[in-house]
Amino acid sequence: MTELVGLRAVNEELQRRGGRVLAVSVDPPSRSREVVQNRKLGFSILADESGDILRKYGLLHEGGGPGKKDVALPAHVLVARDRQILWKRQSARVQDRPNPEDLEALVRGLRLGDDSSE
Amino acid sequence: MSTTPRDYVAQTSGRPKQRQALGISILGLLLTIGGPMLYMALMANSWIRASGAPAFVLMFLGSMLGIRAVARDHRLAIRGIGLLSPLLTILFAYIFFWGLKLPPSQTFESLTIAPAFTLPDEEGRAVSLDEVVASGPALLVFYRGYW
Repeated sequence: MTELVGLRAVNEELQRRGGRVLAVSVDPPSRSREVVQNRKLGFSILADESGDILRKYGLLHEGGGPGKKDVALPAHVLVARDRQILWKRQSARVQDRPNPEDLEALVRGLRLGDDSSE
Repeated sequence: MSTTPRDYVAQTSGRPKQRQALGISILGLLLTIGGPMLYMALMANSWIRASGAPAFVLMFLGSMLGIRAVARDHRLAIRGIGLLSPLLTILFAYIFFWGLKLPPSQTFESLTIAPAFTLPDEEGRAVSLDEVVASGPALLVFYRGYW
């Protein structure tokens, strides 16, 4: 959860290009609201409580959470127009996350005011 | 009975040295326990989060102190406290490197187009991926959630 705080700058960089960060977890909106407000994230956390969307992405870790709860497998996906995937990365370990500076550099590589898709 | 130099030292300077060994072993244990705590506190930094460096540095120092105390004083209590540090360090390293591994996903690996979705945000407002990417690039961040 602390990992989201590091994505503020990435979100600002995306906003300059008309886009944004969308975090997704199985938490209910009420839980995520606390995180968004308390941590002043500046971007949304979406709630996939049933895990249906996570399953579509191949990212539902069944019984992987505390108390054998189904949770998301941590992953990052950069999506352009027409839902084209420009870049993606799945975490190999629970504590493994991409460096926010690297993500920022990745987004800066996209053209301003365009999502760089053909 | 032969007396080794070490026994001689232990007999002659007994008490202060034993007290010292107890102190060293407890200090070692505190450092060892402090390692993961410091790690948790600094976890926002992704390098620290992934490497576990502060935990391992403190736990290594703690283990060294524990082993040193055991080498100095063979009493059971000292052995118990002194050896607890390296044991906890090994346990932490095991969980850190092997216990927290996540299964790789074939489905995710083969995705080239992100599946469409509409999900509620933290205020309950529906957000559609198609609408977001129509105006600019989106970074989807799937995370394990609040715990």
